[in-house]
Amino acid sequence: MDWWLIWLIVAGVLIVVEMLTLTFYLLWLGIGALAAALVDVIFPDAVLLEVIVGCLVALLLTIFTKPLTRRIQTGRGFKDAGLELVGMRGTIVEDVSPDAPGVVKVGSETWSAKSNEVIRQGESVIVVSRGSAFLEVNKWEG
Amino acid sequence: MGMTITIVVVVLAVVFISLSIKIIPQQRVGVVERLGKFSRLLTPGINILIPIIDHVRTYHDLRIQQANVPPQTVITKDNVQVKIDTIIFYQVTGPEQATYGISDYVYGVRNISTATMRQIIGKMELDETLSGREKISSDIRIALDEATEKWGVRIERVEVIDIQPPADIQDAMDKQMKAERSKRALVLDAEAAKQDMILRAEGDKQSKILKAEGEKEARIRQAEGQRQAKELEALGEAKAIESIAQAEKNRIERLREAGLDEQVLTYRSLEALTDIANGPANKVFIPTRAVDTLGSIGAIGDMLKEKK
Repeated sequence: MDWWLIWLIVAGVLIVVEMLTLTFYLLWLGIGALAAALVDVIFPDAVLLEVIVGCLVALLLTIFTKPLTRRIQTGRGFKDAGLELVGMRGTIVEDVSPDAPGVVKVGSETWSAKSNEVIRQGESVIVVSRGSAFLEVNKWEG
Repeated sequence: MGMTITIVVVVLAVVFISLSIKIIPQQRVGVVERLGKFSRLLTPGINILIPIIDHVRTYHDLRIQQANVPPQTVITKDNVQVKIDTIIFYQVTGPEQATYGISDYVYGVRNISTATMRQIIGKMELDETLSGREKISSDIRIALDEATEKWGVRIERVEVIDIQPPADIQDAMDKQMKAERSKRALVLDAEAAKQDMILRAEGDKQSKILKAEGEKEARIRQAEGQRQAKELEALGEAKAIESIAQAEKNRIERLREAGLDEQVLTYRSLEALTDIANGPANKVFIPTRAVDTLGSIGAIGDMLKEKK
């Protein structure tokens, strides 16, 4: 039985499928299969050992995924402008007071605003924190 | 036996590994529960889970989403039933609250938007609703935000796509518009007629004034001509009279120079008497002056004698 050949075929298939599906774990399994093939070349026909070694390699790779992939993941990522509002300056559109929320315009977006002070329409504010639909604002200092 | 163990080990390893690596695409987020309790959010990129104790409860899309609300019948302030078709733009801003705060946030967002819409349109007149989209959008904001704050959802905007008044109202609106337009047309017609009349009258007045002015001018000129002619005539007459008088005066002067006296006169009177006597009348009344004159005949004879 040429197990190493079977392992090699399995590894090839896994890697091809990985390329088609982008799930990432198939790549680790493929590398595990490659390791098993290597073991088979050294100790022929020790199937259980090969399987265990292959699984271990795949598991270890999985556990150390983060440090391994940190280099590869160089994408800039995407920052949602609407959610990066803290520290920005806005203008009050409708009066804000502690017991009645108002409306603030930050950049091109209109949000409901809460504040601990009374702020009149037209004044500048700074965004302190963001809730899911409300912004905490304070008067703009300076 | 060895084969079975091998297969079991392989299957276990494959399942374990396949469940422990999760690649999350950008702008999606997963909510992870560790043994039923919320533990963390899966961020975009590669994430490692521990298969037995970790479980991904749900995924959320963080992009702005649109939900089309089916046409609703809403009653305006002036009691008109309008069919209103809206679209809601919303975004998940708090994935935890969107998971644990409300069972189905999409359904919730639709319902709350519809209800708030009803409320706001119920405070507006029909005409306002047809033209006040901006107002509807801004009015709806705070009301919605207060409700959706706990759901981790922010309603970006509510847009009114279409407002359909009932057919008879639409008909009335059309009629109103037609009436408005025909009114405008009539008014314009009337204006035109008025302008026309005014202009005609103006023209008439002007022409009459000009005619009168012309006549006046002509008459004045005529009168002036006549006056001048008369003056000239009078002057001529005066001159003629004067020259006649002058001539008479000259004649008398000449007569006087020729020595006109009693005798000549007497002679002339006699001649006149003979003339009278020769007239066709049978009776001749001789004025007293003539008797005197006859009486003076003797004197004449004396005179004649004296001459001899």
